[in-house]
Amino acid sequence: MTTISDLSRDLLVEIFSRVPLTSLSAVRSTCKTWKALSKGQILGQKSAKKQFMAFMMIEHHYSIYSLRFELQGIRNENYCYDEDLGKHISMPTHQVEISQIFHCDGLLLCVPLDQSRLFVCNPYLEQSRLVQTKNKFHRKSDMYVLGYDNNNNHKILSFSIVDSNIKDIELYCFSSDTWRVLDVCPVYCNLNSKFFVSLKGNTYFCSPDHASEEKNGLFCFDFTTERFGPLLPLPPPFHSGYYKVTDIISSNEKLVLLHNAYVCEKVEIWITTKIEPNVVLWNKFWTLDWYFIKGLFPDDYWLYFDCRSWFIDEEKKVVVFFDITPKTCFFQMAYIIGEDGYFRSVNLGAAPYPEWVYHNIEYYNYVPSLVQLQLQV
Amino acid sequence: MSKKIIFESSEGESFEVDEAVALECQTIKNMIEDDCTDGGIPLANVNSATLTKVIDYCKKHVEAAAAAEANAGDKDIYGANKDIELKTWDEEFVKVDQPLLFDLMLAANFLIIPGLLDLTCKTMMRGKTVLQIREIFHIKKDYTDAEEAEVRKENAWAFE
Repeated sequence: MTTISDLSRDLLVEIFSRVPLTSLSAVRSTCKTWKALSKGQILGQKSAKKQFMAFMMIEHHYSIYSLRFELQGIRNENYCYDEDLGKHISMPTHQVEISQIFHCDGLLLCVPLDQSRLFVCNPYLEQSRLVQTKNKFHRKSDMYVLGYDNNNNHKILSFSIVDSNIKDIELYCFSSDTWRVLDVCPVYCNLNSKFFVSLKGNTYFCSPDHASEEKNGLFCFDFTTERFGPLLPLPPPFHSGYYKVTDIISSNEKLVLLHNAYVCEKVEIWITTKIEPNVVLWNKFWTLDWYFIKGLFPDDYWLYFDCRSWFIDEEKKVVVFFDITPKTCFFQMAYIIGEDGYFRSVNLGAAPYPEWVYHNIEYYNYVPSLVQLQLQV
Repeated sequence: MSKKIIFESSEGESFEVDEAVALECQTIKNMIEDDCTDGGIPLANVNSATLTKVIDYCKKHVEAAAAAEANAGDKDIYGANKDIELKTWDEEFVKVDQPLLFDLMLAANFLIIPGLLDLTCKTMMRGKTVLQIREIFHIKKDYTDAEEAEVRKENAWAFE
């Protein structure tokens, strides 16, 4: 009788590509061969099941939570959500309080509260690396983003934002394990929220400015040239009145931007058709009537719905919003909206910690990767 | 009348199926295209019990595809009602003992039936504990208890 141990490596790889990612722990714990194999490929990559994953950082909570959402069968009548939403996860950060996270191609950068050091990890590959920060006063306002250059050298950019300017710019190289000051002029950046996102190794900063046409835009920190790129245009406002960019995410090597105008009760989603450090082309994905969401909330409570955790399925023309910090009811919700007018709200269960309601949450959509960390020698 | 294809299991038993059903198997499709199916197709590594199941699967999926085509335009984003029915059928279909499931996976791989390969691979491990997996697949534990606990700890995060 043939058993699994007799199978060729190729067939085992083929099997693993169809085993759901949720079986990762079980597969790796089975035996050493399986563990090694699972690190050479992403489990479940060929499975038709679409799964959305994100990491969340809850303000004042200083730890990381995971968010997982299955899309398959979501249009079915009997679809029910049985996952743990907002599961607390322990990263190899040794119980340190984490105050910032950043995601870049399957790598997660965790910034502890005291900023004395940084943790970079590839959770899928179980790799992690400790990075000492420069010996300076650890200002809580320092921010860190992770990227890589054309030669796949990973780097960390450190900066602070003072009076709407990006200043104190320093760069850490994984290969040399050193920090150095970057001699670049302060860059104007109207960041009223954490609007930066990693795409193809570089970090894009979204800096909407309604007061000034010349300052309104998007710019890139290019990790290859180690310079900030020129200001690139954001999609045009669709209403002359007040509008705001709500969020920006990266999805399938594209930037996706969501902006809304409360005045005309519309939300627009734009996707880049071309995105490089010095050029961007936008294409409108669709316009959404805000009443879809507005109708869910009593009175004016929809004003508090912040649209900060969401993703799109470009192929199926679906956008999913999460309401993790419900302010009007006790349940966390997912709102699934299809371009054809399809609408569905899914009750994700009670918020695990009621006090989340009052806190901001940072989200990073996550896709597991086999990107190797340059480990310390 | 549609053309028939004859399969022969490892026990030498013959199974007659419609060509459309046999076409679900990429390997057989290639053989049919190359016109080398006369006199039956011997499947030396697929036993009768497995072959019966494989044919059931292919039949069902050919029927479902035909029905779906008839209802074209009635598509839904994440699975129409038709799909639910087929999905339920699939779920019932793989409620078999582990050796048969394993044989089905091997047959799906050999005959190249992507849907069945997907279904069997998924089912083989889903929701199983490490102990169950080792028992099912006759795998010897090569970790020490401490090592195993460590692996479990390292991976007991986002995906579980």
